[in-house]
Amino acid sequence: MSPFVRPGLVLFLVSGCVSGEAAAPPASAPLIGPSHLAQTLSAAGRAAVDRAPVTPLFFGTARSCAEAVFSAGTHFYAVSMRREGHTLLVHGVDQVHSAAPDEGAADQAQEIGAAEGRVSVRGRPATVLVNEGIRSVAWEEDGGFFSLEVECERPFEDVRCTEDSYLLGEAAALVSLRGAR
Amino acid sequence: MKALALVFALLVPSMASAQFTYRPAGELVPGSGRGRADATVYAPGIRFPIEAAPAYLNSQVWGVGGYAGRPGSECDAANRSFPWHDNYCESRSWGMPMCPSGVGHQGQDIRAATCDDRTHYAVATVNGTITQIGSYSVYLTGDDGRRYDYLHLRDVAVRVGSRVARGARIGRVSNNFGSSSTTKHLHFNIRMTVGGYGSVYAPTYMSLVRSYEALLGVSSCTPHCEGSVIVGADCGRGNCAAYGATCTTDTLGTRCVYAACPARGTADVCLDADTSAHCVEGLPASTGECGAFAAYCSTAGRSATDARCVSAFCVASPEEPPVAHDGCWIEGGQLAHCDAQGSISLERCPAGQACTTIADTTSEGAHCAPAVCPPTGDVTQCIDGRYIARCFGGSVVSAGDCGAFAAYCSTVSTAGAVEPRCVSAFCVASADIAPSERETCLPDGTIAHCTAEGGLTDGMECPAGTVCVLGEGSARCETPAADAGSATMDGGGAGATDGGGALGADAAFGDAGGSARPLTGGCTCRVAAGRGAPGPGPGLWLGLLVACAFSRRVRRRVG
Repeated sequence: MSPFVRPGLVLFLVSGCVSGEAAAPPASAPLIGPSHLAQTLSAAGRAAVDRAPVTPLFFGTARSCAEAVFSAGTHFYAVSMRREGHTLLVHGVDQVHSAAPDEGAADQAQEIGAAEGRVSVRGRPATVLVNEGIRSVAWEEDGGFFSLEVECERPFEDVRCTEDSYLLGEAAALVSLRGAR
Repeated sequence: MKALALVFALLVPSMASAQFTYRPAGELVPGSGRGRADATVYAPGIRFPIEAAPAYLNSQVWGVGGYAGRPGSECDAANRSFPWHDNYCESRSWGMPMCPSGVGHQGQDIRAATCDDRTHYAVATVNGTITQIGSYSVYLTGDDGRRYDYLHLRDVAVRVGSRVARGARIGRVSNNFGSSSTTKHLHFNIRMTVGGYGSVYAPTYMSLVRSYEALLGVSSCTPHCEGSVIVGADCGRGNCAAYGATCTTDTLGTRCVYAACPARGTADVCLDADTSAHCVEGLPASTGECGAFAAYCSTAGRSATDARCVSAFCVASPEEPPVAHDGCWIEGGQLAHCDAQGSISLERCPAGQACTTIADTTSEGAHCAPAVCPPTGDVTQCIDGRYIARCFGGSVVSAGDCGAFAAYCSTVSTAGAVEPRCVSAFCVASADIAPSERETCLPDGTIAHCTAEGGLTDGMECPAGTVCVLGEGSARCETPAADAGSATMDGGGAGATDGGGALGADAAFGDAGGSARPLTGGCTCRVAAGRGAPGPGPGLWLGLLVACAFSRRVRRRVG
């Protein structure tokens, strides 16, 4: 380590996109604008953003894109980021994979659409799902089918995974990197 | 030793395939909740996510040693046995839009071949990209955007962003649950976009069943139904619905049952209006073409499993129960007898006679009577100056009675011969007189208008102090002369008419109920015809409508 670099600065640089204390409430607005975030994209990240078939949403609460991992394919876009004690993932898809199932044949129809998990995200109807402690919210935006997920190292103790507020706050703060330079 | 290992490696899949059975989608471990009976393969063609067979799909919560299962070790042999059980939608408190209760388990628990920790590899189901690695999850996203979630692995062998090939090792099956732990199993999800739901955890079970069969390289199935699709013991699939059948599993096994046939026993049913079938245990053993014999397949008036052919001559539709009656056949002037079963037999009339549906003193229905129709052809003609008859093949197959409406059947007009129609007896004195536009007196003292076609229109009462008087060629309302009496209204038949003729109804047809009375009430337009026989022609109906019109005339006072 260079003697001219203070330990605190090292911590800041390593944390990259860390948004702060785990228990801190999520920001409702980006801390740093999309243009600034876009400037921190790696070449691979920039390529993935440019290839994204859906709006390339990114965590508006992050300070940098440097430690996020971007992926994109013909029909999907994803960005994953590890933060202290948890990971975040945005996953977007541009197509419906399966037509609406025949609920009559499945003998399910009467209770389909239960209100469990219904919320509003980014001004759109959304559904919160929990999978083995991994909390996610799904919504449609600009023709894309998105989900935002948070997975905690301590899934049954970390309020970011046991309650919706952190997840929904992060969803509200997502920004588009498309066109941002 | 290596040779022995190779033999064992070769044997294991075949042993596994010999044992492999699975319960239908949606059938959870008893007591573990309500599954989704959905046989859809939401991720067709995927590679089974455990590298080697055997593997076991069941519930890690409701299995032996599980939180809600029988006490014991998670390594109990019962946790690694067939048949497989679906555990998508198994009881949970978490929201799950595609589950019947709206909550449930998102994916499928899979146990590897043995209970050994960090021994069995989870592998990529498709070519794709690793899009997330969390504390206890690895997500693989296929190029189409479907995402495959692997939970509880250790020794993860991939990195976020890396491309992996189908079958590539991702990590080892373990009990990793972040800071906590679970049983040694792979929790596997398919996250994808489903119409009507958006991005959801889709049912996984049947996709895993298919991929496991592919892994085994054999087709070993428990015969079952997947909706209308039947899956045989050889895993062959067929859609019963393509043959108008449903898939049924009962004591006879899994089989297609024809929609029209009862699942069990024998029955005679109608497949459609023309075709009957003899059903045996849900399938048509033989069929009969009623239509080839001018008959309907009918169950009208009897059980739906007691079908028979019913002559189309005897009933108007397959829904009409047959009743015994006679009709006129469509050729040779023959009499046709329909029995109560809808069967028909023909009878020739005596020489000089033919079948008619015009009632007489001996018969209300079809019977033999002196022939009045041409021996062949389909014509409409007047009979006895009273009936508009449709002749078909020498028989009177239907007839309208103008006399019932105080009218004649007439074919004359001032312009020459016309199609048969009813002409009011208040407008002409006989069937061979052409009607003309004029006023006429009716027996009830009203004055009415005769049209050029012989129909009566308005009947109006004369103004107070006047009576209807028949004058030269027409009638009018006049103040009666002191010595004139009411001679004009006696309805006295032909002798009281002028040259145009009027008021001759009762003279013409004694059964018409008097000259005026039939005209003042409503009318019932009745046509005599055999069931299934050719109906009245348009000319006949037109004539009857005219008759009805004047019998339903609007009465109003002259202003």
